[in-house]
Amino acid sequence: MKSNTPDMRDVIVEFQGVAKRFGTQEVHKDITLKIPRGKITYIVGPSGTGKSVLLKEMIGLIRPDKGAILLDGEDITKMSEKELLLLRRRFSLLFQQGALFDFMSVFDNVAFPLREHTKTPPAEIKSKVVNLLTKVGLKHAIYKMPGELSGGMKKRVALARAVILHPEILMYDEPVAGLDPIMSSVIDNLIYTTQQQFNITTVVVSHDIQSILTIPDYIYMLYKGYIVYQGTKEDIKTSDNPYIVQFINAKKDGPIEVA
Amino acid sequence: MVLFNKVGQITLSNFHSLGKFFLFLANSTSAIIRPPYRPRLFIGFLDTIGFGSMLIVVLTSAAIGLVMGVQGYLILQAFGITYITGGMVAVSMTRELAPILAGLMVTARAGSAMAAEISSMKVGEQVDALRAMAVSPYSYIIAPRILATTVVMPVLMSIGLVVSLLSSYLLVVVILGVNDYMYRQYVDLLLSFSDYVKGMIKAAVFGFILSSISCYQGYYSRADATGVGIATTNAVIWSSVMILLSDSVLTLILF
Ligand SMILES: Nc1ncnc2c1ncn2[C@@H]1O[C@H](COP(=O)(O)OP(=O)(O)OP(=O)(O)O)[C@@H](O)[C@H]1O
Ligand SMILES: [Mg+2]
Repeated sequence: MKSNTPDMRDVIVEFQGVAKRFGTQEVHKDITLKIPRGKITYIVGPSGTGKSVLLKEMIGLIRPDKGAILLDGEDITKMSEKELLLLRRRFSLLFQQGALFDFMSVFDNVAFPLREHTKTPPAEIKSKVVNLLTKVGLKHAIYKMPGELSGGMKKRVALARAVILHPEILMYDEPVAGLDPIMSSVIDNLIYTTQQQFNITTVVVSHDIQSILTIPDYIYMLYKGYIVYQGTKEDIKTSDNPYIVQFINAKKDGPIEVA
Repeated sequence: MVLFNKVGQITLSNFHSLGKFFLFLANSTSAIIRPPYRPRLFIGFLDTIGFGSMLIVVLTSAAIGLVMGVQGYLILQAFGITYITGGMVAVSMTRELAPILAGLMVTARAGSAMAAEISSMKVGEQVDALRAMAVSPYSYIIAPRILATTVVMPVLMSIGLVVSLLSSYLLVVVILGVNDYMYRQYVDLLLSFSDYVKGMIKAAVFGFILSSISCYQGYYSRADATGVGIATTNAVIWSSVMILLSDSVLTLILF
């Protein structure tokens, strides 16, 4: 085992034989994976393979049909919505489409988790929100409504809302998709420094090759309901796994079918 | 055989959704009773639902008061007792028409909006975002709406009642020239305070019914644009139907 491979004995979340279907469509057939504590794990895979569904399963927004999802050894698939609600305080999820509340301003959206779950005084809320929005380049948009923002701006507001509480486990669903290269690297950097600063277990769904080759401690690749590859970012560069090779090199020929 | 199957399916799926609705009601009621309470949201909805529906309640109540006055006057004229018109209008408005009118108008104005808002929140994954942020959608979205509607309905009903009584008074006494003193005497004689309380109870029940049905339709809508349309339509239809059906039941119980 290489020295930079994360310690797979210190696992915070574990999927054991998870299967999920929507109608006749089997999204997950047999997903087994471990998320190492305090590390950055990337989930990659072609569009429509169930990466977003996987993140939602991890916080109990979607229940799998089969298998277990263990959080610190406890199976969350058996829990009631009430128990899950408590447990979700340990998590934060950046939704792929942002999922901003469209009846609140940008400021109120980002302040929402603080107001709901902490007793932070208003002045401090304000400075935290402004500070964070400045970091994602949106200081000028603080009092706008979500309907007045571009797609990339919404994404960054949602990102600010997701990181404001420094939870134990942060999940980002395609944080840089749709952003320009400069803003992408700003966001990647924010994800990385947030993780480092607070030692947050981070799970990122991404298609961004640049990020995949530089940031993660561990990578899983999803395809047709299974994990078809796993390894560190160093492993990837030398791997001969046809799936990850095709994906990283953006080849149209290989085991991954476009149809 | 095919027909049997069809019928079976319909009743089964109806039972299924009835069960779903009662579960929804149970969750909503528990969210209303238990903390966290959300006074800001509640007051916000009092404002939008209450003031938002005020104008149409006033307008329609004035119109109903007027036609009730006319019809009452015409019937009672034959017996030479037109001065009873006021009492008759007052009783039927208080017991039946004012609560129903307020219920239907709030359904049209606010119930439809609730269904549309909640279902479009689903389209944008905002309901899931709430759950993901460890906030119960029942406590944040549903409870304040149901509570605000239930509280504001008796107020709207009272306003509608006053307006309708004024408009029939205006017509029957001021315009048609029925004796003012006698008219008022019979309003006093026929209308009791308990009628008014019962009318308010009806209004509150209608508020609870229409808001829970509308929220339910929004909450369980399909998460797309068509789903929003269907939810809104169903909210208005089912709320109106259930208001009228429950009115018969309430009338049997209360009077
Ligand atoms: N609530 C749902 N109801 C029905 N089908 C769903 C639902 N959510 C997801 N799916 C289906 O599951 C499959 C996986 O969806 P998912 O959003 O997880 O893909 P993804 O890997 O995140 O893709 P992308 O990279 O394009 O975001 C899709 O085919 C989708 O149609
Ligand atoms: Mg996705």
